[in-house]
Amino acid sequence: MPKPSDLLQGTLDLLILKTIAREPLHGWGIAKRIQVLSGEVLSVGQGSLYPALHRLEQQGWIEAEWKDSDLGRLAKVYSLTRAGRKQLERELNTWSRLSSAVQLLIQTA
Amino acid sequence: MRLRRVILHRLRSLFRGSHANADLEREIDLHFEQLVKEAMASGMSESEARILARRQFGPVESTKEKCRDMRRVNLIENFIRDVRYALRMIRTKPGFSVPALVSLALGIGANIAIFSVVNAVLIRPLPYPEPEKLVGVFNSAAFASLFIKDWPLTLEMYPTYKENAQSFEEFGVWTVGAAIVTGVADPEQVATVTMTHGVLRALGVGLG
Repeated sequence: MPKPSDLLQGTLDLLILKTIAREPLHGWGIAKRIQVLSGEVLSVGQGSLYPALHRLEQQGWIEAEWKDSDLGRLAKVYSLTRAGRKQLERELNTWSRLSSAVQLLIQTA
Repeated sequence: MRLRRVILHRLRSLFRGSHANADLEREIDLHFEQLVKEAMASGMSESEARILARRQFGPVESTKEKCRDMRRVNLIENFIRDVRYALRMIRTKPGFSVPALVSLALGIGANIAIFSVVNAVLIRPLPYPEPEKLVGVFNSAAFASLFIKDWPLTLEMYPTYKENAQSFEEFGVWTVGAAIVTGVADPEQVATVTMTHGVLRALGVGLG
């Protein structure tokens, strides 16, 4: 398996927020879903996932709760807060601006 | 709303630190166990699976440390540790800390003394009604190329000021001098102030 490419700075926040926007998830679930939905291209290691989750929680974008989970034991489940939803909007806008700018440059340069 | 959540979260992180750390431990352990299960599902023995999982998982302690950094707990805990260290050093090295404390005390004391004088003389408003309206007017004179500040006011100049100074509600002039009191006891010199009627009215006190 090729080494997954490094995530662009700040992209991880967007991926996490987007992933839990649909339904609340625990850390393992978030990592798995990012991996699966990106067609195994992106993989988020625990070393960057958990600090990011704690940072987002610290900033009030997401909140956590211990709940019974599909893993058969209590898991810390993260969900978006209302402020987190707004933040997701902002991150999506930033991302689409950035990616279309890169696309434009690649095509014309 | 967001602010309230953020503040509550930080207080919890700080005062229930051990609880938060245990939380983190459980959270990361869960992730690890899932990796093991996944590896076992692909046909490995448990011990092989654990080894593989540990390799995939990477350094746990540094992750925990990063999480604590994110919660800003380290910032406060480190500060508390620094303060403790400082206090211990002050106690164990009196040869350094006593002179340091004494010079700090003297410095702070001197500053307070100077400030109370400056405050009373320069900063606090004068004890008159509407002190912000009081202004001093000084007489100066210009001859050809010579400019002299505080030129004595002549008797003739006073009416000119009084008539023409239209920016003022009241206007008065004063000068200091001395007088000698004689009588039954030894003569004594006292300081005097000679003023026109307008001075007290301008200050807003007394005779009216």
